[in-house]
Amino acid sequence: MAATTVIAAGSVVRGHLTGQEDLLLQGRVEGSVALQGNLDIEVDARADATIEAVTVRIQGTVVGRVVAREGIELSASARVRADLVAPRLVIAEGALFAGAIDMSGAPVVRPVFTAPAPVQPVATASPTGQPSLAPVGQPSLAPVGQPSLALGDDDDDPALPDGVDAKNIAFKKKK
Amino acid sequence: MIAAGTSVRGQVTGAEDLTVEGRVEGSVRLSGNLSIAKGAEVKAEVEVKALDISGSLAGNSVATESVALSSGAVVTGDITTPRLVIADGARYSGRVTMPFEIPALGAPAPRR
Amino acid sequence: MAITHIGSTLVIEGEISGSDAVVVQGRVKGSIETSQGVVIENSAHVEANLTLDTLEVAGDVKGNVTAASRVEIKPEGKMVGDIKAPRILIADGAHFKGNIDMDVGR
Repeated sequence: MAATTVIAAGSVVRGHLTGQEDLLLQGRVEGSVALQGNLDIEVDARADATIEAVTVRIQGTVVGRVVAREGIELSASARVRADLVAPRLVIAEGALFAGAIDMSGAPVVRPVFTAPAPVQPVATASPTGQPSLAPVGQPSLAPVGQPSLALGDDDDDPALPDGVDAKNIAFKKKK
Repeated sequence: MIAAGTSVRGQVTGAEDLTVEGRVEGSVRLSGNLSIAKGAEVKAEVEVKALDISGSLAGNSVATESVALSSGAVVTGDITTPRLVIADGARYSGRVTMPFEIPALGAPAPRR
Repeated sequence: MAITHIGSTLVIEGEISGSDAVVVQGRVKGSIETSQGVVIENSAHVEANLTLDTLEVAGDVKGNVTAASRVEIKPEGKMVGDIKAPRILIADGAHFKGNIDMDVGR
């Protein structure tokens, strides 16, 4: 198995991450993550991102969109407001989840993972290094080309852009 | 209980728990729990206390307590519930709504 | 001490910031900012401004560096950019091009 990248608890990565290895998230990510590997999001970690990976295990907080080639797992401590696309899904008792789920099994792999991405710069990094970020929920990778993924493109998509205000989305129980 | 060889078309309402082993088409509204057994087919709007699915459900569902999809469940439609369990092997497509909040991101890391 | 480790196949376009040490084996384009140390390993390519406590360069760095304590460029290291640090060590064999400012008032 390829080397494991770790984003430790005190770190925040903002931007676009790509790689061909596993990634362990203990801190925070904002932007997009595309891995030919597995993503493990620990309990106190948080990702506000568009995520693509082979498998995604979520024990922490995710806001955005998660596409997995093999499967997604939400543990009891997961708090997820995102669209999920994967052929296999496990949501454990206690997980909090809101979003669209697409398990139609339409192949996600080929168009996305063909080339180890030399990432197209989404923004020019000025000499002082202030890259601007694509808003969360906007995949920076080639579309997977299957209509079944259109679920994630709804206007009421729970993937929240920067400046998220989740309070507006609190569920009001009908009675 | 709706047995395996039985088909029901229309509105099903009641105060009790219900197990469906056959087919239901229409709507199911219970103040009790609904269990859709393996092999059962429900095409209906569902409003119940707890919803347990091992068979097939096509339709939106609202549960006041919980929804559980077992391995082998095939479900399409939106789900609204305070608690949700999806077992490995279940298949689902639709939108899930659960009441909870994720705090907005804090201020970005200070610039030097 | 917690270490953020950017593996050799990782490419990050953006910024890494925080209070962990950072070890880079892959590529980073953007910025790295930490109160701890940063190690740029031999396989790494970094095009970024770096703000940190200590920096060790054994790979490729293009960008300006501000270090609170120390910068070291190892023999395998290559750096193009300005360095602002109270202590600097450039090993024999290292490549460096840029300005050096060791007068970091503290």
